[in-house]
Amino acid sequence: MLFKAQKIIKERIDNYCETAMKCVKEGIEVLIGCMDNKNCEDWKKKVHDVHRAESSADDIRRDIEYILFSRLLFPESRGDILGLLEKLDRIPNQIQSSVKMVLEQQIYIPSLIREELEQIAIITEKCAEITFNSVDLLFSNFKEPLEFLGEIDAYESEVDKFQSKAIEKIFSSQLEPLQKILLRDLINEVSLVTNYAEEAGDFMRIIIVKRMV
Amino acid sequence: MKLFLMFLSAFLLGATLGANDAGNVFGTAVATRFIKYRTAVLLTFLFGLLGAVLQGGKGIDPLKSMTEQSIDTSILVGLVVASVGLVFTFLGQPISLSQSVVGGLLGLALSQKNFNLAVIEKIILSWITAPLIACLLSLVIYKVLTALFIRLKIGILDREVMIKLGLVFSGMVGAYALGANNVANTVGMFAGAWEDVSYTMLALLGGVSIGIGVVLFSKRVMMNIGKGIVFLDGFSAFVSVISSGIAVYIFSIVGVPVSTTHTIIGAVIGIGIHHGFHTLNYKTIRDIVLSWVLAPTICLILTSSGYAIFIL
Repeated sequence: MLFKAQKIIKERIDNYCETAMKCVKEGIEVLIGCMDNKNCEDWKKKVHDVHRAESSADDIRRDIEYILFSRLLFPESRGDILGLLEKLDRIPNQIQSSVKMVLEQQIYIPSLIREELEQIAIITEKCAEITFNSVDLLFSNFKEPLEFLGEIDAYESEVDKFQSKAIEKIFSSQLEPLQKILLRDLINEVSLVTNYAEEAGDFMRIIIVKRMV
Repeated sequence: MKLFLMFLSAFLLGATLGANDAGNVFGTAVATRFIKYRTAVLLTFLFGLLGAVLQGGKGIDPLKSMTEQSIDTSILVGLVVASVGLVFTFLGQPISLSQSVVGGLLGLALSQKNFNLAVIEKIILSWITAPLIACLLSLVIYKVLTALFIRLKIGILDREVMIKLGLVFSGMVGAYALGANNVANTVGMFAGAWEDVSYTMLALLGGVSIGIGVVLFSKRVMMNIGKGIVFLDGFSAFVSVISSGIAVYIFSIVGVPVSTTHTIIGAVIGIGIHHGFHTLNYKTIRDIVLSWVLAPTICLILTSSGYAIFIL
């Protein structure tokens, strides 16, 4: 059914989602691993993998942008796909920046907030997975993601709850003031991933609804 | 000399019609950049010519029977309408060549007190009904196709491919209907005066001249129709063109030459009504309606004064 240009774009987008999800999974693995090991030095190689996945997602995104501008595609679809990619790209970027923060600033994650941070990490992974799967569905049955977009919102709210709980715990503890600020920033940084997933979900909702009226 | 002038005025009329009316067929698709201008021009040329040759003869009789005109007066009408049409085309304003031809002929008929009121009534009635039918069709087709599209299990890019094919198809239908229906407006009035030439030959001349007009001068009007009245997405562009094409085709079967300008604008307004009246650009609609009234009125005045000056 698809013309050649559309087929190429779909293939690249599948590829992008796969790579971005790989980046998220590896990033989450590093975050949880750092919490368990205390010594994040062991995870430096893994961080390199996260960076590599993030940068290949970037390359694929650029490639898609080039195809979108060089091939004849409806202006409305071109705008929608470019906008969606821009939103999606913030997910692997944010994971990479959270992981780098832990390692570069050598943040020690105390057991006090481990449970919350772990929950945030797990939910973030699920949320990102649903987001990228929804993108895939958008290109095979464009109305189907509507069923899943609500889940993204629900995960984002759940992360918000754990985020508040963790920050409350940090500031009511006896930790050093500097460490408190660092930990708060880290929690906020990781929690941003689901916010970005939610924004991508909202954008997909607009893309779908626009095509249903 | 007379034969040359007759040929020239028929040719100019056809070219003006092509330049002005190609916008009605592919204007929405080209202005919204869903179809390349070059593709649109080629398809309009080919299918317009096909429509003119295969089914264009039917509309010639009503125009011929509206008023009996000599070669001289037919040439006068042809040249006046072509000139007025060219001015409006260069201004980027879509006018109705059908109305202008009727306006021009009416100017002569009134001066000569020589007209068939029943035919004039029939033609004027079609001016009102054609855009209304197109508007109604676009409303119904939009609703039906939206419901169908929602049921289809397709991705956003599949949907795009379907709309693109739909746009090409509807453009071809529209171009065919344009040729079939409107060729009468370019050569119909010469049918009586040019008796040794068959209707098919006349239709071929009209079809070719329409095609040349499309190729040379259609861009500005195409852009104005596509962008001015209401913002159109690919799906709406497809619905408006197919609705207009069907409406014009219905009138081609009946044998009444109608204005494709009227029908496409009726169809685009139908889409606007579906999305809500606030989406319509009333200023553009006002300008277009004004040019619909102005063009035939100018033609009427010019042909009756031309008759008084040059022929009487």
